[in-house]
Amino acid sequence: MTHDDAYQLLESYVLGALTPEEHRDVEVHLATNCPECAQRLKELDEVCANLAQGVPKHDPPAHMKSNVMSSIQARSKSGTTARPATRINLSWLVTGAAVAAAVIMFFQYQNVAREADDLRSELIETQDVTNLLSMPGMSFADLEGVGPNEQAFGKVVVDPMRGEAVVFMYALPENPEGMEYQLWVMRNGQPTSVGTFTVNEDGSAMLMLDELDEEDEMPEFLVTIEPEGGQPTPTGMMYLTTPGVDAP
Amino acid sequence: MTDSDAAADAVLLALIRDRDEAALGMLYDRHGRLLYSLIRRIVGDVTDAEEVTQDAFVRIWDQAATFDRSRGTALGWMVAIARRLAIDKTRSRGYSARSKEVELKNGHDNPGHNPSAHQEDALIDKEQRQTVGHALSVLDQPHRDVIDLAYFEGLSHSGIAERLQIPLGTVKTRIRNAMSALRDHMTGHRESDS
Ligand SMILES: [Zn+2]
Repeated sequence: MTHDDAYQLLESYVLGALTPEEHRDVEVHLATNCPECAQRLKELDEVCANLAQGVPKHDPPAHMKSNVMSSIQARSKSGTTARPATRINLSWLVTGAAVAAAVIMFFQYQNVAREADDLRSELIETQDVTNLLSMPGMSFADLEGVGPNEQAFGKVVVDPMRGEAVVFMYALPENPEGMEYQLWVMRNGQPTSVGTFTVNEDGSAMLMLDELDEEDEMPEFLVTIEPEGGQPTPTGMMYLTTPGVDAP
Repeated sequence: MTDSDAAADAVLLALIRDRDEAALGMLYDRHGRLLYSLIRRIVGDVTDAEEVTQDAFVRIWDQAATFDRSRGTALGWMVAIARRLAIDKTRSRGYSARSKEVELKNGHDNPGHNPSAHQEDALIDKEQRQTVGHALSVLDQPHRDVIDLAYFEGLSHSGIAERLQIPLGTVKTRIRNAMSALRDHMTGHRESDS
């Protein structure tokens, strides 16, 4: 099937309205990673999700969640090893370069953060973090503790295609009163702030970044401690860096 | 649905893939109502809707590793799972044989339409009329009909052609145009929101 043939069938493909043969032919074309079709498919996927939003809403019966959870628990009993549980602080910091924008977005996502505080996650081992977002096209980098803070560590997962990154940090000291950690992206040795954050009781934090620049396939990161609200350039002590980053 | 909602869902799915039950609970809290409502709209029966919703979350749990962000949002992926299971359910129960007409304005003079609908069907019709008031309202009736039949009844091109008594080529064109119009409408909304 040519690109043109496949492209014309994408609407029906997402709806599931094709014959099995056509469906398979479209999948064969999609497996060639045609960028144009992939882009269109994403758009149509959103249309499908949006159509669901238009359906009259009904609250599911109250017992349904516990039924769902017990079905899951019944399934997961088979063979998973217990891992150390820790709480991660999902502080959803979604930001461009501007700290102000970051702060606004941060407050917007406080709800998610609060829910997420209850999330008992299993990801303390670096390997787990790697597994966490090891989806196609993702790249990874380590963050290492610096000097007196060498116990701290972290992991960065970058999705270059979407210009997004997730930064996980562990074993950071509690930030002192009036001080916050600040995360910087280093470009050609120049730090750009991507926002400030505080750590959870156990010294962990997780940040989501979007709007990374295209050239930031795997940017270098730096974490410093700064007065609340952050600084335009790093002034405080360094806590974490990607290996190889010199102090600015 | 913002990009950050999408990112939050993707991270929850990644945690689920890592066998994190609490993450599934969060995903349920975020989208259980939507998926249940969608499924109920398709299967038209409360008991079946419950069963299928539960199956859908089990499927999400089992297949989280197959979710690929490069192909769409986590919500889109979950909606697709819910739709497929719900449509399968209606097929397994032989719904199609019951002439469960969607609310098609021109469906009432369709040769295949059975006017002696169940009480349940009357309820469904009412719900469908509300649906039409939402997402599909951007479409005219002929385009709304093809999307309704494809999306909520899972009919193929030929099934739609047969139901609406229109040529296959017309079905294909209407589906393309309708989906494009819906897409344009969504994009327009997002721009005017920001
Ligand atoms: Zn293509």
